[in-house]
Amino acid sequence: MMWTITLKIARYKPGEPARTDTFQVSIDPERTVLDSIEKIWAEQDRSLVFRHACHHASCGSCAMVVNGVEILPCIKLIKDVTKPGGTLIIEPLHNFPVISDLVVDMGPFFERMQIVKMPIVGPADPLPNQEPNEYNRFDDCIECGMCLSACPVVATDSKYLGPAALAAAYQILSSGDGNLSAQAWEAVDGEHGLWRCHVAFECSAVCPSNVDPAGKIMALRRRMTVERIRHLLGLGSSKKKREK
Amino acid sequence: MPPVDSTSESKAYPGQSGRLPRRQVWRWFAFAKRSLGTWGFVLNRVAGLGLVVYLMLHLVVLSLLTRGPDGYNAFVALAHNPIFLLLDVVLIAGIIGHGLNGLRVALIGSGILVRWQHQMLIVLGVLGVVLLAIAAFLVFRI
Ligand code: SF4
Repeated sequence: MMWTITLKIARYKPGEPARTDTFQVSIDPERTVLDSIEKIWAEQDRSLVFRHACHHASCGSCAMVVNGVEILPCIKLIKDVTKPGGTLIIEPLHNFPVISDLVVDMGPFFERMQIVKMPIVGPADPLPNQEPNEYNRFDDCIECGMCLSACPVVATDSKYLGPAALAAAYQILSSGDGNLSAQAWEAVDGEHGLWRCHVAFECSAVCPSNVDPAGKIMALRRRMTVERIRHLLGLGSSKKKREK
Repeated sequence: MPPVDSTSESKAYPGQSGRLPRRQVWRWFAFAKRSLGTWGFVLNRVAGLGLVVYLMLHLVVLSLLTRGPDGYNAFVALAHNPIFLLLDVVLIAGIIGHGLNGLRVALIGSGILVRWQHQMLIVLGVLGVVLLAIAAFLVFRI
């Protein structure tokens, strides 16, 4: 059984005005949204720019916004997002600069992770002078950027450290004697850090990898609140530990 | 190569200039397809902004006092008009919504009852509706 569906895809090429192109595809509803986009690329428009790699939700590179919600189109079935004759409105991730069509510049995401020393990108092989764990990854996070796209605070504060980096900071602090650098503390506890979150929990709602960034931000806040109260009561603070 | 089986319409998306607009305040209110947590976020933003506007109006009304009893009494008489009473109910809705949801946000934001944030929103929402119904009854009865 095939469904005919309409895809309205946001298009942008540098130097050209933005537009929306409308395509119709005939597709098995058991196939994925990414399949429908690939079909358009293969059969109708070779200039359509989109990004993907693994096709099974482990690389996070295909993330986009479909009908107003961030998804990984590689694992989202057509039948789960529309009906026969239905329409999909497809946009690039929000809160990122668009490079072309559905591809955004992920630089702002990686810069945030770099601040908390979860650089994501490291050399494939150990370098001679590389410290152990120097190129740690944030477990579970597939670096898709969907949390930054869904966050209403990022929409008005582009300097906000954001869900993934704050969750990574929490993970560092929770792991054994893990600690953050002075620069990371400044970012985490600063004006655009964890106190900026306004508890919409949309990051956790869209996260495809069960990282629960909002839950981790709240856990981090709880830790900081307890620390401040202890400091106020003269029971010592972890300032010393911070500067370790 | 232009699209073969497609039509094209011109539309600007934020970010599609290749650069992001600095602030996209409207995204605060794009809650239709979002989760319950975002509905709570929007409720607090709308109610908070509404209360700020009310505070301004309140100060303007209070400034009528400087015109003596006549000016103020004329306004108080007007305030008994059903439309003003309805606005009072809207104001109370804003206070209850912002207050109860603010309590939830303060608890969650301190790391308390985080897992129950959805349930809290529903329970406090029901409580808010009950309180608002009582308040509306009292406003129109008095
Ligand atoms: S925290 Fe979740 S939504 Fe955010 S980048 Fe990592 S996997 Fe994606």
